Amino acid sequence: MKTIFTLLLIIGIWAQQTTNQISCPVIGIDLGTTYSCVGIFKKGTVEIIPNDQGNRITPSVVAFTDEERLIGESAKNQATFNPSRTLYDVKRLIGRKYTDSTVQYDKKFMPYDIVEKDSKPYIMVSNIKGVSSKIFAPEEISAMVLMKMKEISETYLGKKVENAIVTVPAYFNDAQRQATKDAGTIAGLNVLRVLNEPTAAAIAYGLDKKDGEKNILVFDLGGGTFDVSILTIDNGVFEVIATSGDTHLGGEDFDQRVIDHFLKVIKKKHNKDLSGDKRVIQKLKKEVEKAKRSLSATHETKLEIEDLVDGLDFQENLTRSKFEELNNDLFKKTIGPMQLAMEDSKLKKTNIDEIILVGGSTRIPKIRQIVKEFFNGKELNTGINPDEAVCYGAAIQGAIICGDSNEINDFIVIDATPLSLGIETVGGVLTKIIPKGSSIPNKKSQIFTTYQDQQQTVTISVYEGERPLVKDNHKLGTFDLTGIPPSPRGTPQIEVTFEINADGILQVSASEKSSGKAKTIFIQNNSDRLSKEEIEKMLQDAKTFEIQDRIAKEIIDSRNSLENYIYSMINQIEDPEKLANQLSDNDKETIRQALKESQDWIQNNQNVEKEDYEQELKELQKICNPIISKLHQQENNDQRYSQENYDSEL
Amino acid sequence: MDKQDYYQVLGVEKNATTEEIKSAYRKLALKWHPDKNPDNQETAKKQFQLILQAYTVLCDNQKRANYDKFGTADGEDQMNFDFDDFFAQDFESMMNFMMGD
Repeated sequence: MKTIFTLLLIIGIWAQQTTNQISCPVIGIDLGTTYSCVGIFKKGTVEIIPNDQGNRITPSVVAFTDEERLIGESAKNQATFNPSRTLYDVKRLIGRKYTDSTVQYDKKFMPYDIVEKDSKPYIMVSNIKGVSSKIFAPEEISAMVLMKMKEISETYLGKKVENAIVTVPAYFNDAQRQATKDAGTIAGLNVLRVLNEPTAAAIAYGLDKKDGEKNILVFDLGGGTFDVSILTIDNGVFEVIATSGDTHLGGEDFDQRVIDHFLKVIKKKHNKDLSGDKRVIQKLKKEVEKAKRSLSATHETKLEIEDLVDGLDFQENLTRSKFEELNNDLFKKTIGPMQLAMEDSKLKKTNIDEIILVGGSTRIPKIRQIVKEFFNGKELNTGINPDEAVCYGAAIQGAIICGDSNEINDFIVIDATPLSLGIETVGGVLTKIIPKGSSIPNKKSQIFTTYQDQQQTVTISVYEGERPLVKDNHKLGTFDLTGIPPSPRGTPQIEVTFEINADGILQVSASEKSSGKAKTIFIQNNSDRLSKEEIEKMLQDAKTFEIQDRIAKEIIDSRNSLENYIYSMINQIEDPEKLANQLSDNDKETIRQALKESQDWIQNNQNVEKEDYEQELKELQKICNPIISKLHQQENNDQRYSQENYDSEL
Repeated sequence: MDKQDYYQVLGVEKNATTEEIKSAYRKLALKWHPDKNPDNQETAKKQFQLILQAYTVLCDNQKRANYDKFGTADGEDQMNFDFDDFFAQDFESMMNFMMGD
């Protein structure tokens, strides 16, 4: 009896345990430098979700106009008119320090203002509706793009979406990963996993590959970042064995080279230095991007911009070989990481079974040639869509985590750390605790001791990178372990534990063991990270923006309704096929007069509220509708009036 | 956890080939990966860590040889301990070595 009772009790407790099971749907978001994509695993297959314009990828662009905030296509389309308030390529800033050379380089070319705050790059935008100017953390701008992707998926699925997988370049460091995760939080998303982009692409490729062990290399060159990952796929286990890359190399750099070239050409031909003109650069950028794309298929293309500046029409040709010449050194920068990844994997080139190309820039013929030559002429796999593969894989990872489908029950992804992680020891030496290429999640401890007699505090500085001295590596954070019992040097045993989760994000703790009292201190606050309070504040701001967006949209909608009413009414009363011949001159004049007054009212009231437009519409209808309905009643006596335009448009 | 026999952890023979070790690891990883055990996170994490540790040592020829000889993966390193560079060193390895643990 007693046994049974205990057993029941245990079952009772077990049943009460809260489940950690994540509920579906989990969307997969490829948050790209230039474009983003969202997908969902449904009924055994991935669906890439089109945006409101019907496109499967959405520009990662956010813009502020005098009236509203725009995200995606609408933001990109107005970039040339509004360069300093159109924010793009924010992924190049996220998780970086203001003093990073790449940030300083980008600052020179970006048409928007990059400013320093807490040693991080922020973006200053002037003339935002309601506030004069505001500075945004890169996380906030990325959050806006993520929110857009969330919204696209919610519209498609017809329900709220909270859980997401967000992809990052494999070569992103701890700070960049953390910042991306924070962006998700600000967007109101529960980011279940920060997934490496080439790994995601490999999942997309390997989902249906069940024929034994295969080594694949993913070459991922996108708009702003470059990754190489080597994976072994074996019956559903995706294991990353080496990864390398460059977080500042991609299509945007190639465009920049061409823009620089044409600025020089213009200077030579017209003696005009336009390098400081943001509008000109935006116009050039748009045309250059188009030219680059067409050069992947043709050998020569024409660039034409009417009225580039002061009536100057721009017309130039660009050949594929010129494009290749301008970017030759950048293209060749892809070789180093390929070499490194191969060395780290300890595989021979002939061991690679499949080379998969991902990212829009792998469409460039010269890039393909470089990769092919590196692998001694091996054919490349171009069978997967380079723009969607990452998104596709992210959606599958989402389904793996929420356990959506039986078909993906036998899959796991074991990723690897792109950089070694360690702490500073005597002489400024980096002592590695977790070497690069280690599988994640991972946890490792190492014992250190003191250098001086009676030392009571040790400072633990955490770094990532491969160079032997800490000064050449990237610092992640610092914390002090205090209260070490006074003792001769070398006696205390300080255990430092590094734990990397499946997102590739590190947590460090330390304890002093010899005293018998284990004291654990977690890394206080990485200086590169936003604090909880800051994230909370940004989350609130994001909500405010969302409300403002809604209000702005309502205002625009209410103005549109008023304008639509006016135009359809004009159409009705002036068209002989409609009501023009049936209305008395008197009635027509009354309506005309009322419409004219409303049009003037709109002209003079550009910044009014939704209610004002609604009120104006009501008053206009009060004048027009009785006249029209009077006519309808007459009509009804004779024949049934077929309802036409104005009704449906109201 | 450190005292576990890595061969036992992966369920392979002492003379197992690298291929057999890999295969055993992958089967166990599929079972114990934290993504596959949402309701059993803590145990899964520990188990996954253990098989990962065993796999990391046994599929590296050098580390495996050290493990077979000294019972620890970086056996040789301890011999090169430099007493002048005290602070920075892996103290536990040294202690283990000196005390014959």
